[in-house]
Formats: sequence, structure tokens, C-alpha cells
Amino acid sequence: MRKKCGLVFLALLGGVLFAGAFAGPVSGETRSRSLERVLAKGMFDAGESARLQRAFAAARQAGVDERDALALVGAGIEGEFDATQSLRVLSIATQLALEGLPIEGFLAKVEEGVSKRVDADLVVKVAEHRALALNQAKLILNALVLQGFSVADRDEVLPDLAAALEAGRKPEDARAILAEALQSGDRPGAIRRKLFP
Amino acid sequence: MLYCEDVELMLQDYLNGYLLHSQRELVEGHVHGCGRCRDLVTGLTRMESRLDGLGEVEVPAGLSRSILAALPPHAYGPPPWRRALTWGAVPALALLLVVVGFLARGRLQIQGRFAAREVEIVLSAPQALSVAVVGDFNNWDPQRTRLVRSNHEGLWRARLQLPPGVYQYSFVLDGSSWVSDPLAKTMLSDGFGGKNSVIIVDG
Repeated sequence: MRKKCGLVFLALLGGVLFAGAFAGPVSGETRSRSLERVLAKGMFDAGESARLQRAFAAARQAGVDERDALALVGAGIEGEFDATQSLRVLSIATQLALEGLPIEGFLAKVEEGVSKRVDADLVVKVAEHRALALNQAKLILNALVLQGFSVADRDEVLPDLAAALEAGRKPEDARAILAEALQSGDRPGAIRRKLFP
Repeated sequence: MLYCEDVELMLQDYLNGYLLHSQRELVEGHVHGCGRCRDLVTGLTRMESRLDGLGEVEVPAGLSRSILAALPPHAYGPPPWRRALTWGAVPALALLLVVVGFLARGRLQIQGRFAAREVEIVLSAPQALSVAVVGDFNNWDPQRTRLVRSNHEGLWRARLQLPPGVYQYSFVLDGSSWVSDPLAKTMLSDGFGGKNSVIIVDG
């Protein structure tokens, strides 16, 4: 009986490890090949490619999803970003990840600019503005937490708040709306409607 | 051409003289040019010659018995890690099931909360040959979500599956002309000199 239990446990453990090995993140080798394939489409010299690879590794280390980091580099190449502009967007993504902020909205703004064929400098500037809005939203939520409010649905509220700030809502107004909504126990959907009447 | 790892694998056979002439030449060629492998071969050769220099030792009679007699009785049984594994199997299995259950429950709750809602987008563009919707939900890629012309008056429609949130979007007519949604309740500056329409999906 004991032997059987041991065998069952080992089989389960083996299964979990086996599945983990195939379902987990891709290996470092595959990752760098994906990046190399993307970089090969750009017009970077060897030094610039090396710097981008280091920035990419830093972004991954900070917690940026591999597909998002590759999409950022890919969008930069499509939008004819130079190395400095590509490094800038990777660096902003890294900072967002380090701050625990979502990078989807930032990536979307870069993709929007590239898709609209806007000048690369302006794309980076506007995307950076979105990153600042996310950071400002985080500061507002942190301030409310310090006041004693419980922000249970932070992951949902934060991008909505950032979008409202980006749309021109004043931080103090947004904070007052949130405070009132949290006080009355509103769900994220209701908060969203109050931020975007 | 051999690498250090290949040489390391062949080294014992090389020292024992078991390699073919061609293999031997390859190993010697590598060792000649590689300081690390040369040091390794020199060290092993020296050690082998010292071992050869030691005299033969006669094994005393009853050596195995006296070693076994000196060991404590539990040393004959399975090792402690194996016993722990056997006894730990049942609680570990139970713990594993509990963890899997919690994860599945949490995932279901999260999926429920972020479940996508169907949103219909409509645009009247009688002159257009093609209409695509681009936005935060599809990487702003005009190839991803095309609208379908639904009648002869030039009404184009698309159904989107979107999780709750705030999305900016726009239409692209005939692959090049960017148009805001005239039916959108909210319009925002896109920061690039144009306007985006805004759709709010309730949770």
C-alpha cells in the first residue's frame, strides 16, 4: 500500500514537472532567438542590437511579458524608430513593470501611433504621457489607501483611472469621485461610469 | 574539430590507448592547442603513473563482513528520504489536490469577473469598399477586425468580444482613411492630432 502511494505521488510529481517543463516560459535560448529574429528586420548596427538586447533582458527581468516586450521592439521597427527611441520605450516598459503597473495600455499607444504612421518622436512622447497617467493613477490609489479606503479591484480600477486622467479629468476630481465611489462600495463597472459620465 | 567537452568524454579512452589512430590525432591536435585540456591530460597522466607506482594490497579475509557488522542496523533499510517520501505521499497528494482546487476556483472567479461582453459596432459608410475597426483591443492592426457590409445602404457591422474596461478605437476605411465613430458618446484627442472614439464596456 505504502509503495503504491509512493508511486502515485511520484507519478503525479513527474506529471506536474513534465507539464511545467512544456507549459512554462520559453528557454533563454528560444527567447533570444525570437528577439534576434525581430531585430533582424530593423536597421540596427551590432552595437545598437546589443544595447537593445540588454534593454530587452532588463525588461524581462523586471517582469515585462515576453510577448509584450517583443511587440514593443517589433512596433518600433515597423514605426522606423531609431535605436534611442526603441531603447526609450523598452526602458519605460521596464519602469512600469518595476512599479507594478500594467504595460498593455502603454504598448497599445505605441501600436496606435505606429499604425497611424505618426512620427516616431511623437509616438514615444505620447506613449510616455500614457505611462505618466498610469503612474499618477497609482499615486491617487495609494493616497486613498493611506486614507483608509480599501481598493479591492485595483487591477481593474487603475487603468480606468489612468484613462480618465489622460482624457483630461483633473486628478483632484478623479480622487474625489473615487473616494465617494469606494465609500459607497461601488464595483469597478460603476466607478468606470462615474469617471466617464 | 573537437571541443573541450568532446575531449573530456574521450580522455579516458585516450589515456588507456583505446582510441583509433584518427581519433587519437584529433584529440592530440586539440590538446596541443588548448591549455586547459593540456593541463588536464598532464595531471591525469601524472596521477595514473603515481597510482601505478603503488604496490598491490591484499584484501584481508572477512573484510565485507566486518564492515557490515560495524554499521547500525537501520543502515540496511531504505534510505531516510525514501521512507519520508513513502509516508509523505498521502498528505502531499491531499495538499496537491487542495492547491489545485483553490487555483481552479480562483481562476473561475477571475474569468467570471473579466468575462468578455459582446459589443456591436456599426458604421454607415456607403462609399467605402472596406471598413476595419482598430483599437486598444486589437493592437491597432487594420488587418485584424473587418466590418461586414450588412445592407445596400452601406451599413457596416462588427461584433467584438471585449472584457470590461475603457477602450479607444477608430475606423479605417479602404485601408487608409481614419474615421471616428459618429455614434460614440465619448471622443478623445489621440495625442497625435486626431480623435479616437471611446467605448466603455461594463463589468
